[in-house]
Amino acid sequence: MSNLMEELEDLSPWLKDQKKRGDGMDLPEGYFGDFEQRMMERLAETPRAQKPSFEVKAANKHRWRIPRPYLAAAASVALLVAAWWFMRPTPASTPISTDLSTEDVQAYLLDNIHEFEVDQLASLETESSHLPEAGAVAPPLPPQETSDELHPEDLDVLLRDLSEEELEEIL
Amino acid sequence: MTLQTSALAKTISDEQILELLRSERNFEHGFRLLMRQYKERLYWHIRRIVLVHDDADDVLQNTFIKVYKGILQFEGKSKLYTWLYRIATNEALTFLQNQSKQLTSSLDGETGTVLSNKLRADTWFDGDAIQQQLQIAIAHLPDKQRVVFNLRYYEEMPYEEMAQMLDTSVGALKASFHHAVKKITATMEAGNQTL
Repeated sequence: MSNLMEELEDLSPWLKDQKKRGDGMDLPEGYFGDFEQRMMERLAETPRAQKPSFEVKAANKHRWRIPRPYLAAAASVALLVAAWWFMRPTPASTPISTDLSTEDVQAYLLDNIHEFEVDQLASLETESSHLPEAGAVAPPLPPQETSDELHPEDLDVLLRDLSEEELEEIL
Repeated sequence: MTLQTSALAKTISDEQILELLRSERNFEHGFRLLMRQYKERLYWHIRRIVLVHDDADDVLQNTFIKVYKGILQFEGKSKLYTWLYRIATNEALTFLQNQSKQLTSSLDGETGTVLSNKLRADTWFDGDAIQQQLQIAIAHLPDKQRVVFNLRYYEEMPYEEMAQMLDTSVGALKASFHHAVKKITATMEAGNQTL
């Protein structure tokens, strides 16, 4: 008689009797027979956990043995640098029109026309609408335009009239 | 080869199985032996928690997948079967909790009720009315009390081993078992058919 039976004798004689009758649970015939094979087929697709490599761990531990306060300080510095980098004022935000007159811009374009793509030159019409504002800062244009000055509209018309071959020659 | 493995499984110790598992070349052989050694004990342990054969089969397979993934992290601080039982118990209880969660919108969401209904529909339960009523009474125990009752009543596991497995004191386990026995007996005596 096991300890359990002694225990049940006092606690519940009814449960003691029931134990002898079994639990009424059954299972398919041969269920355990092919269990390992079924499992191995399923496990073939399962990645097995690798044995922890103590050698690598030890080497890494030695290599990265940096005192925590230094690591914290280094992390803080890195964060500050990153914050400065992302929050610094960008030069692109300075409007070029405050320093350059329309004439200057046009002169620059003509002198360096070979450095611009056709699309960029064609889009000058749109951008030129901002130039008068620049004129407010820069010295005002004389009322009579000189003959060698080129309006953005003229430039656009000129570019449209040019054939691709002519444009290639210019560029 | 199979017979040889089978014969070996009857005598092989946990230490020998672990030794095979530590070797890359013998891992698969070791794992087959581990399954052969423990599949039945774990199956019945799981089956008595989830009650239905199909669910027990799912949980047993999930248990061995967990073991397969984690066996090399087993540090040997406890006995191998204690570790396996712990994984199986957790898998079975998690399975029941997930099943109950899926049914929370219905009135049948409570674990005991879910188990009762499933047991009545299980083709692999051929017990009589009293055996069925007893299983339903056990199913209505709180999770941990149910595990303690099953381990003690069906598997006759000593309290000391159970304490190691469930990380609980022997005194608490004895109290839990006694309390479970009283509840089940009271339920059966009352003949409460609404369980």
